[in-house]
Amino acid sequence: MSISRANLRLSIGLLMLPAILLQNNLVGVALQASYIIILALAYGRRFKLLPNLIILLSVSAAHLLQPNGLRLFSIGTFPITAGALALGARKALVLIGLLYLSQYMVTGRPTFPGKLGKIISLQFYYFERITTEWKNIQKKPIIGALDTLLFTLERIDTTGDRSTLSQTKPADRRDWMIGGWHVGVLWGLYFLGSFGVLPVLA
Amino acid sequence: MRSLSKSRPPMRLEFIALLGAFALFLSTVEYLIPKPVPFMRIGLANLPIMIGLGLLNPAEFIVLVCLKILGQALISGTLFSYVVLFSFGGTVSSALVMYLLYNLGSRWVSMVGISIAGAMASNIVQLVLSRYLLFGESAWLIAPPFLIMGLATSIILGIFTQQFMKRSVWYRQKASL
Repeated sequence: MSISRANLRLSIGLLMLPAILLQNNLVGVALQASYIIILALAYGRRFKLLPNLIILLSVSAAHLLQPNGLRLFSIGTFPITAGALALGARKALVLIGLLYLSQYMVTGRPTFPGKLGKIISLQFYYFERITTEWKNIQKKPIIGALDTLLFTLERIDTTGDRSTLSQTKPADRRDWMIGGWHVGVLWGLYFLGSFGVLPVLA
Repeated sequence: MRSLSKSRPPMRLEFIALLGAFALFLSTVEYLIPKPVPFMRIGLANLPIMIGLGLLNPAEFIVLVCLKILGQALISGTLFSYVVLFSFGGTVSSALVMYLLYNLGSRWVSMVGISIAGAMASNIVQLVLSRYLLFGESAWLIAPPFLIMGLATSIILGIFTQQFMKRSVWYRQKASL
């Protein structure tokens, strides 16, 4: 079966998705999220600490407002509970994991079939042209600049080859094996968490 | 009052793709602006949607909305995360509200009003989603700043869109077709 590298990555990601969504173990989800972040980095995506830290802190803090489980300590009369902290951290880690998994899945820009695929490909073609043309346009006044940009884009002949936008190179055996390994790691961590092999924090 | 059923030729894929790409470009500009939580958006990418209100028929408008959601998710890499649900819920609700207001009530409501209504619809849907997906009951605590921010940014976007529709030669040409 012939499938492009980009589409194989998309399929691999879809197989990995339930493993992190179904994970209930906090250590398990932390390991899964870390693995996915490394995976996204390996495929050229960037990691920014601050946005992830903000997600982790804001989601965890929001859950602290609903006390749940063992009382760890109090800030004034406000109780900090282990259950709420763990639930918030787990949800935040799932979100972070999904964000990076999603980034990994769309590296190489997968192609979609049919009319939808055609229009998305056209959209990305125009997008590439906008980013190129915009650099050469005088930005003030802004409405005039947007007019120039839109008129320029309309003059472009879109009938040419747009296939370079996606990685249409077919996946080889090595790609399949690496993909299988990633799926195995994510599901392995899910089962380790589910069967109590990984430590339970709360 | 404008008619909901405009008689237009078959779907103009290239034109819709162009507006979709324009939305994508504006969302990458927006992506560079730091935000406290990932699903908070200023709504710059709504400009092509608002422009499309006066230029597209219902089917084309729906395709543009889908392109905006898909394109944004592909560019930001959020297609398979919760974030796409926020984007989907917010964009669809605001597009629906804006489309109905533009076609049924634009005699009484300006583009600023349409923009505010769209932003409020989008923010309310996103708050409800964050209540069930992320924050629980605490979601209501972020509601006031979230709605105030949405109000402020939608007023700015509405004013800009109104000016664009008035001054843009490109828009006037398209609207007269």
